[in-house]
Amino acid sequence: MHALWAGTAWAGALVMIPAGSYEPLYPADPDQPKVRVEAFELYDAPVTGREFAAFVRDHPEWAPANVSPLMADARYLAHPTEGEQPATQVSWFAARAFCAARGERLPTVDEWEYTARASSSEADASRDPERLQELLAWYSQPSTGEIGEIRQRLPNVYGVYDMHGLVWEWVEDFNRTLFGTDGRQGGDDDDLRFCGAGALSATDVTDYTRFMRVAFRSALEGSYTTINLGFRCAKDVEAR
Amino acid sequence: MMTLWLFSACGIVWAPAEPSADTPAAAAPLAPLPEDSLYRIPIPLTRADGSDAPLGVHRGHPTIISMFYASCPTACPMLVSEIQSLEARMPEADRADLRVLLVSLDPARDDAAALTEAAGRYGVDTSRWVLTRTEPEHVRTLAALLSIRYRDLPDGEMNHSSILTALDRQGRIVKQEEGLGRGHDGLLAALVGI
Repeated sequence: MHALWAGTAWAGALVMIPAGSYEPLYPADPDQPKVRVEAFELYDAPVTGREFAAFVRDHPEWAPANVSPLMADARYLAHPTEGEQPATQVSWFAARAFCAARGERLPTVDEWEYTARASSSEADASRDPERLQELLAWYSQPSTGEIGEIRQRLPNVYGVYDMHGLVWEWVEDFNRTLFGTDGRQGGDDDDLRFCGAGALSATDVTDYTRFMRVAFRSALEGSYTTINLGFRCAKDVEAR
Repeated sequence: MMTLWLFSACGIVWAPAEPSADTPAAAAPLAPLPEDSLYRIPIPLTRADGSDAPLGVHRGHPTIISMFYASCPTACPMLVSEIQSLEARMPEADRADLRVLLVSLDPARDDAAALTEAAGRYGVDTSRWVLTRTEPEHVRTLAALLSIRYRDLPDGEMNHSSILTALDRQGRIVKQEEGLGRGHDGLLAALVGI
């Protein structure tokens, strides 16, 4: 499949996510709330500490001592996770480099959110009250404790684990969330500056955790690293 | 004190971190780039005349870098005119030394002809301003490095933040200012006499 680094076996497996459409929380065009997501492949689990350590070993330019401070802040890999824990304290630049080294990429916001709607029984469980309660419970847990290992909960209907409840995840276009804009008003992520107005133009106000993710991404810079921010890779479906 | 000690103890040519008035500017480009220099990031650019340029095309000069796209109706012309009015407020020697680098957010449409047209329409001093494009995979990298946020809109336009970044002669970020309709006094102060 892909070249292994120093004999590292991948913790995750690529899963096919079929094409479909979903409604971004803040559509680029409010008159077209649905966005089509083409079929793509996504890893069924976040990249692990073990995998990232192997990447750094084989790509020493991404070791903390060698990386540009513009591409990873001072906390980069300061306390690296181990084994089957998700790799965290990894910047967006480093996460992208990891995926690129495997011939892959980070998922987009739309791909990630589209997949994250799924529960273990439904592709779109975004209005399932029980699931919303479960998500809120996960997201409201303080993240100070030890990070768990991947794949300790049920996978979603696609066979993808840990979209919720383990770590935040980088996406390719995290910086599409805008605060200073071209002067357009209404329907853009920019409305986050005005909390009430933003909620009114959002497409789905029932899932509060979506607001939390938008707010989290909007606060990120590419060099940021935190102890509860990891990533997983994705891949285009090759034309057959 | 530390500076003098380094000079005498090492006995080698040592480039000060911040070239001062008594340091010839021409010597600065020869110094190795500091580790936090933007110019160490390998992002290849293409100029409006089709020729290649590195991200450090203006190495050795104080530089303003930002991103734009040629068909941008409002924000980008404003951004350019704000840089021009900032230039106009600089002492002549500083203005002559200042360089500007604009990189397109829209590589699909901003080919050499579009960049040339934009430079003409903006009326920029092309002896000091360079308008460029890069390949799509580098656009989001550079935007992230400059804290610029952008999103394609379905009608072909873009939402994007307008951030001006001042770089010193070695490509280190010395000041960033966001938003249009500001005087950019902070940028001016950062760029004069560095």
